[in-house]
Amino acid sequence: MESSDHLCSDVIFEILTRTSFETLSRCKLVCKSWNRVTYDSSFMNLFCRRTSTISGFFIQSMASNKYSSNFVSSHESSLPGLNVSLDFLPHNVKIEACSKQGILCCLSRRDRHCRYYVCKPSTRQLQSLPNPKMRYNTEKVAMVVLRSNPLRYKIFRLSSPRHLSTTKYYNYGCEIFDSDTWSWKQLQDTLLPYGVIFTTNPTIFVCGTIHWLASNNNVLAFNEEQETYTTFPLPKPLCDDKLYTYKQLMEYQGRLALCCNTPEWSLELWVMEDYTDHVWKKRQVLSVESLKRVEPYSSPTLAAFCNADTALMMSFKKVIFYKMQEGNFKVIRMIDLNDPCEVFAFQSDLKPTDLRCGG
Amino acid sequence: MATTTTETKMLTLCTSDKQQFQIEETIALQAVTIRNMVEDECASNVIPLPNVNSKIMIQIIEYLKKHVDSSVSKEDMEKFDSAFVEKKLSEIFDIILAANYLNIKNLLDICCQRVADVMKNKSPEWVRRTFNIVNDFTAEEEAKIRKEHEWAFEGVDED
Repeated sequence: MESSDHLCSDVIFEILTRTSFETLSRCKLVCKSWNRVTYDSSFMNLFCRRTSTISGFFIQSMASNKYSSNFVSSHESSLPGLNVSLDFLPHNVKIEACSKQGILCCLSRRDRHCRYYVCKPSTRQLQSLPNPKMRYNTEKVAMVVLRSNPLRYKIFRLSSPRHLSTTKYYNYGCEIFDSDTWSWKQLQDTLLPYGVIFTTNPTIFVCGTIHWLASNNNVLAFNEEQETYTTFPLPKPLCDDKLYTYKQLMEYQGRLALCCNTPEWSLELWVMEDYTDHVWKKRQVLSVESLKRVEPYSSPTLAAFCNADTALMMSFKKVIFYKMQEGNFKVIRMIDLNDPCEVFAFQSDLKPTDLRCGG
Repeated sequence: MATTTTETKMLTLCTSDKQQFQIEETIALQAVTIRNMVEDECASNVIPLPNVNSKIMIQIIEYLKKHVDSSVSKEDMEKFDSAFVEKKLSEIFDIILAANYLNIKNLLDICCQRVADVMKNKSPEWVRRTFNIVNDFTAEEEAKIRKEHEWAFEGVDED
């Protein structure tokens, strides 16, 4: 019998916190218990400290026609010098999308001139991109990294819908930028029922698929590899728009999840247990009564998860890190935060990357 | 400089294969488990270590002897540590088990780091084989997770 049979979970935890961003990503495939460990509430904290990895959220809001974004670290003890900002980017830049590897797609606007960029904030690297067809406004953007070394990424852009009077559909234009060809490619329009729009929901990339929540309580799922899309509905009870508000698509332990507010100061978390058959399951109901102390008037909304136990909540001019098990929380005040705001989960190493890899 | 004339206190460690090791107490006490046993006086002359065999004990004593020596510079200590972990992975696993049981934090740290470093360009299949782990994902589940993490597979060693 091999001694490695007996390595206890503590030791596995120790080993995995000392790997690297890429190794950890692969280790999620080893088995279920290893996969679970990586979402443990104390895991990322230690991993980030030991491997110089940044983990947190960019929170973007708008005031007097100008975008601003703040970075909040999801760890209590972030290393000095591990803070990131976007101050090296051109004037009035908007984050359009964020890949899971710490590379952002941004849009800068000066007068009527627009320019797309990709950047890596942790190394302050910046690369301009060809623009997509700017005739129609941007509706949704997603960025997916397909390979780390040499870097390869794709950017997906849905543009605002046109309605052809003979159909019952909204035609959303769809373009893809591939860093290998260094150009945009137009795909067939994405068709959604007439009147269906997108909410300010984030882009969620799990299971090799990009997800956006549409206003008809359906999820638009875009397969990155095949460049095709499908739609599937939210769990049935949640389609009642009067009872359930602030529906947010998110990622929970590597799965597609949905969180929404109920009228009784609680949150419901649903997780897609079986992706192939699109089976949702209610994971938990979370009382947020304790947050009345800091936010007496309206229930804060859940924006994202830092790990299995810590949620990021948005509230008036503040963000809250909420520990679900214990019900305790940490409040960070942000005076320049305005509604509505967008949250981009951000994790990054500090290694410089060639952003202009192809082309 | 004054030298102590008192006799160095010795401890006897008895491994799983009934081998006895006589070592100075100051060296042995770096292992928290041994220190607790001595402090609680639950150990008489011979300290039984049923979870450690003699082959591993020899290596652990080598490590402890070096680390008790305060005259070694930090640089030399690091050199020693990195040479120390240049072993086969199966041996490192055995040392990890022993270091975990004996509660020798530094040793556990450098061995875990060594394993993490070896894993750097290894596939999940290699990891499963090396750690004797059964893949409990269904093929479908695995394919889904794999797709999401495809970006990290470039440059991974062929199996």
